[in-house]
Amino acid sequence: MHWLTMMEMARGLESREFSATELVEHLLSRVAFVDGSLNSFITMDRERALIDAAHWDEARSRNQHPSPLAGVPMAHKDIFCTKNQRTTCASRMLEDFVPPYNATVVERLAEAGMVCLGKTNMDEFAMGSSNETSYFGPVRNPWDITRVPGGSSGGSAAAVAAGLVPLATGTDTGGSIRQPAALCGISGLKPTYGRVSRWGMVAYASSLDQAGLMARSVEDIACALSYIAGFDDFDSTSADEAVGDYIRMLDAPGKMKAGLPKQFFSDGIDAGVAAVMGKAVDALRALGIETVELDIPELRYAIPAYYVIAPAEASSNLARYDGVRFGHRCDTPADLEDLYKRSRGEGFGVEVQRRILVGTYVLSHGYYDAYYLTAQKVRHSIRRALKQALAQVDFLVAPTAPEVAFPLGSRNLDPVAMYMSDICTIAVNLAGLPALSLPVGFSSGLPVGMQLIGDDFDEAGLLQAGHLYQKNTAWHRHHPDVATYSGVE
Amino acid sequence: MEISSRDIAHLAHLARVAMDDDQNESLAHDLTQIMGMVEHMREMDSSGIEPLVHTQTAEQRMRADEVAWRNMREEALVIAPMVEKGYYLVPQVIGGGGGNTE
Repeated sequence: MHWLTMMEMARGLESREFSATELVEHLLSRVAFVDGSLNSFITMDRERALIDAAHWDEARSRNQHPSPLAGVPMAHKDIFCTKNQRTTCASRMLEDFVPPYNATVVERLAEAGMVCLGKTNMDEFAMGSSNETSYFGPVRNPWDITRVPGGSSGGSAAAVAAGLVPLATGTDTGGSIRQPAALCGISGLKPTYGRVSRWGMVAYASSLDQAGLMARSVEDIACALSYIAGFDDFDSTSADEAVGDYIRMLDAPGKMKAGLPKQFFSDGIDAGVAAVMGKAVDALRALGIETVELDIPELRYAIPAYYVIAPAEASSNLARYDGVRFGHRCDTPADLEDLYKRSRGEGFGVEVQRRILVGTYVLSHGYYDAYYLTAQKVRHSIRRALKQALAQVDFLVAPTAPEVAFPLGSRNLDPVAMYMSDICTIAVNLAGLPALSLPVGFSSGLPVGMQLIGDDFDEAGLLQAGHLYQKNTAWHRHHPDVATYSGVE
Repeated sequence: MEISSRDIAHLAHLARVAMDDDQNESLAHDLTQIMGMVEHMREMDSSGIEPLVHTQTAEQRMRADEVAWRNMREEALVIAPMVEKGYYLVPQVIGGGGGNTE
């Protein structure tokens, strides 16, 4: 039952093949067996999940369920505020933080009747590409538990890949949905900036952060996106753009043309990944998608510009953690400055401190023009170049990550090497565009992801192309053998 | 550009993050590496390009000036580490030589 997709679970509930309670009980027991090895959840709420499941079973028996997803289990990345359930952002700073309200994404999926099993592990404050910066310990990759799941949404990716939930939320500031989706062999969508409300999502870099979805099929993502997308009064940066019925739009794509920016296929791409990508591009061509090579030299400057803009915004956003209003507070402060400094010194882990200091540096007197303003100009060039490319083609194709999942502990002492994990994803965030990662094969037994990048608000086009690919291939139907480390099938 | 542990101590003070000497040293090394990588963006000719602050071009939508939520003062205070009589509690700031009110 655990390998059913979200839509298959919804159909099973509709045909009374199983109840929501049976489904939730099954997945909870699977979590109990498997997650000791993976560490994909920070907080579980079994009791709440079973109460919700029973509620939707009852509502379904009276035909009064709000959506086909009523009773289907899912999980939220622990960056989304959940009312009366702690939301840690994988930080000691928020270890005991219990929000007084729900994030809009949480609220909308709850209204649709989805049952949240718990909150998934992540890199602290979403800063990381390996899920090793979590205060609650690293997440392990379900395909090989000696390797990282990617990050920052590593817990969501591992939970979906291991069959613990069919759907999980994630957030993507520089690749945090797509890169872990690729490394764990699942599908992940980063919507257009503003497509989904950021209300109640703990802020990292506000001009880049976007909420999205991770699942074992594109169809599942299309369905769930229809519920979470759209304008929100509580987020003034959410876009007032029409939301499609993405499931209905999945089929009947017209003729499509894809661009292959050569920078994404050369600089630092592992040979095994490149070989799998070559076959995936051939498969797209076999499906009737025309391809054309493109040259976008501006892409080379995405990582440097990102590591000015994101830390600058982070240093400002994270100033709110002062030990006064909420979050960690040090013991017996000597004075107010000591309270601030020790609360923040104790509450933040090393990667978060690193980025706060980089942000403080690039925004400090005398350096603002040299770094921050230059980075914003580079950002503009990148967006302009990508928009020009997308005027010629329907979407761009790239590997999602330059390599497969790397061993735990192999990179966390070298921040710059770690930052290169996002070399294929970061430009998309700088430009604010939507992108979808799909599993397209294996290299050395580990999953490889392909990324499709679309124009502003063209999630439907990306989902069509991804669905077309998944209807004709079976890579998204491959599952890791969890029996090797959990003792269950 | 070389960033020294003295620079780190200054930045840590500006960012109000307590740090010991070992952390200063290792962060000095890290920030030197990171800023070295960042320097590559200067290879791009960005003259004549306007800085992009935000990718959203749509105008900000105004909502009606109505109370949307009830007052959540109590809920906000409940999650604070220390409160007294409905106020956040911090070490004494004015007078008393910076003593501790806790």
